[in-house]
Amino acid sequence: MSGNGAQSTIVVDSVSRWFAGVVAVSDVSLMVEPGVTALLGPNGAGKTTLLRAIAGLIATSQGTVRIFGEPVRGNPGLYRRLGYMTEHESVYDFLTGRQFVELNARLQGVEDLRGAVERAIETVDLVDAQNRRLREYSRGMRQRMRLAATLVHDPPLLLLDEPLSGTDPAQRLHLQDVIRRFGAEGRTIVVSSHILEEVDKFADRIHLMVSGKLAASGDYRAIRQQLNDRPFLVRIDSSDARALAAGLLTVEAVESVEVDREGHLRVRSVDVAALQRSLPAVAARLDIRLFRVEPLDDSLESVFEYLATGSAT
Amino acid sequence: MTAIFTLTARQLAGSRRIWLVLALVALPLLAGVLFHVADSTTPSTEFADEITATLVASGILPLVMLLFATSAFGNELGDQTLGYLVLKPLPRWRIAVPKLAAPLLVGGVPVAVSGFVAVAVIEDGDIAGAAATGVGLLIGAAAYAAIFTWAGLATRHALIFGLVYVFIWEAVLAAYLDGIRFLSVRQFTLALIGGLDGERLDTLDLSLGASAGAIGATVAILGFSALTVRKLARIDVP
Repeated sequence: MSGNGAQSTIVVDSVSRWFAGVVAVSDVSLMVEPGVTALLGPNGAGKTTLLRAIAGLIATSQGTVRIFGEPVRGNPGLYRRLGYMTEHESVYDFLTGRQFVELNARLQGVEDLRGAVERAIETVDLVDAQNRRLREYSRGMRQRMRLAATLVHDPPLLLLDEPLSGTDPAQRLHLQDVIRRFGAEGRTIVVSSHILEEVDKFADRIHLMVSGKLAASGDYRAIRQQLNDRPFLVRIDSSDARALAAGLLTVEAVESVEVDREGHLRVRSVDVAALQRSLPAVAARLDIRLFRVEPLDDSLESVFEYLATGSAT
Repeated sequence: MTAIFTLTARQLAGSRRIWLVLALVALPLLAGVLFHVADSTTPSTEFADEITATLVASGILPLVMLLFATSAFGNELGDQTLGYLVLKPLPRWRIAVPKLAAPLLVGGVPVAVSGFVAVAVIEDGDIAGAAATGVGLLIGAAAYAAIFTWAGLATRHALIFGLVYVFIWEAVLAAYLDGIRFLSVRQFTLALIGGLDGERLDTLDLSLGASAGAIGATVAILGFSALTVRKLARIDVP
């Protein structure tokens, strides 16, 4: 670890967690300071397990977690300063939205119960729906009411596990705004997500997880720049792969070409836009017919893998 | 604690199993009415004792408490809502106690009232005997609640654990092996009823005295409540 742990809200030190021999989180160390931090990674990367360990919902197999300088596991008093919105969308669906937020406020020991509940529900913009039962809510509304329940005691630390999932575009914008605002107020917000473009909207810093490990940490823009510089691999089916390969080698944007066993042309380029412009011209000049152009490594996993290892697949 | 108690009571009472429980609870009352209507030749004391021991204490009480108490935490684990409770600045006992009390209210009280009314009807208004039955059943319900609430938190197979305990350990083994009657809530319950009113359950061969029953029930309630609190502090919440 680097930096000054004493100023960090969360200090995760060499944390590993495995379940029946399967490693979910492997030797992760990180620190989180006030502001909005994204925990980014593909599904199954270990983000939720790490968040659960940070919240004290599960024990670590190795390593320690400290929040505000205190161990979190077996320290329920800490939950007065922590709000955790889990990934599970389940709620007590026989309660109304307001009753659900009230229940959470009551259990948190909030003094101005009515005021706190009203503020929380206003924050997520669900005043009109607050007296409807949760079972009648859409998925996005349930997410927002769960967020209201998470922040009803006004905690300085919020852990939000995929808070935008299930929300429509308008709700998404609203929640992104809420998260940004809370971060600007000086709270520490950790938001997990598997969508890189999404975290751009609110996160100042990113911790990238891949396969249970912390693959990269840093400023969002630096990671985004790395992504822009990433070479792309494109497969091209044409009437003459070898001739097209020779033609494309003269294009500046092309890094390398290769004809595989099935006769498909695989082109590696650092400037896909330039390749898109050049390819039809080269094919026309050589009188080659193009049948199919397909990016080979455009999957989310591939993007994360590139950011983690610095090499395209 | 009131918030968790109310929440759990609503969860339990709102489930479909409440109808099964109401049907079970109605059986002793029905037996009491039938006893008079059918003009039975069996002495009322003997019939009341059989209804109390065989039908209520051995069947309805453990079954009702099994259904409700295993669900007190079992529902939260199954629905993945336990996080809403444990992520609160509450000592774990303040979560465990209402979780134990709710099945006692929703399941134990109706069974105790049913036993009370049934004995009163069969014994033509013997309020002392009926009260002893009701109180004994309620204490037995508390012991079952403690055991099965813990089981609902500790294992995914709480219902199987409970069925084995009630229908193999208590109904078969404890009936024939005197040594393990000290580990049977059914025996504690019967001993308490007999101890609270000397004339109740006189026609049965009770192997435990009232003191042993009271001590056994107390140990079960306190011991399993403590285990529940301990488990709650250490559990990996899904």
